[in-house]
Amino acid sequence: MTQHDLNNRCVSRDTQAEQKQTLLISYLKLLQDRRPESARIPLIKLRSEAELRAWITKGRRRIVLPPGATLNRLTRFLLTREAHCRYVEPIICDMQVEYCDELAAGHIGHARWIAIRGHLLVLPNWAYAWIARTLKAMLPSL
Amino acid sequence: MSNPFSEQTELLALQMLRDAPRGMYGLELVKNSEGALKRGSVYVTLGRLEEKGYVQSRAQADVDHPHIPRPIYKITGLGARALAEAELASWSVSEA
Repeated sequence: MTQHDLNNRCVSRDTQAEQKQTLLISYLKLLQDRRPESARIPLIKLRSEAELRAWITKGRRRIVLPPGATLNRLTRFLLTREAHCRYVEPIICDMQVEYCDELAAGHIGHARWIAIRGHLLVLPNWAYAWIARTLKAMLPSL
Repeated sequence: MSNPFSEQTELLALQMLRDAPRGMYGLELVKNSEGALKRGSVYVTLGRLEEKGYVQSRAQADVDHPHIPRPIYKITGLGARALAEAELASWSVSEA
């Protein structure tokens, strides 16, 4: 994996806030497209992304982060960029995709279970990445 | 040539990637392996294969989830050659 790939895969902290909003927009669009009645979006016709963005930022609405967002930040801080991108981030992405699909299908209980399972699955990979990093630091020839 | 794959899961993952020219997501590998690959260890396996240069990954968001850049894995030429040699070696052993 080249440095360029890593840079592409791990976004800088500066763009995180913008990405959160973009991610939320994609979730809302997906929910509205697949299952409008379960999306819990107010009964307005969101004709454009600008309109949706305006709805999110209007008033004191709370932006709910997708599951794993905090864990992603934590592991990004604790692990090396390579270990994070290779072992932890893909699991979080998978969890978010599955969570989103289940939520869109109206299976809220299963979506919650996927979020819990995803957090638990990160642990062994986190341990593996941490051990690999420690061994590489101790034995550079590995 | 000795078998370069430390585990059967590496061999299996590489075989599945060979059969998917467009590449596969980690979750697809788990679902298609019918239980042989686990969610908790598939990325460790793929990470090892990537370190050896047998697969390459690229962050690619799919159509349904455009803002979640999941890595998609593809087999490399080196990986295809190593897999062919490993399969040939196992075939020779079983024939003997």
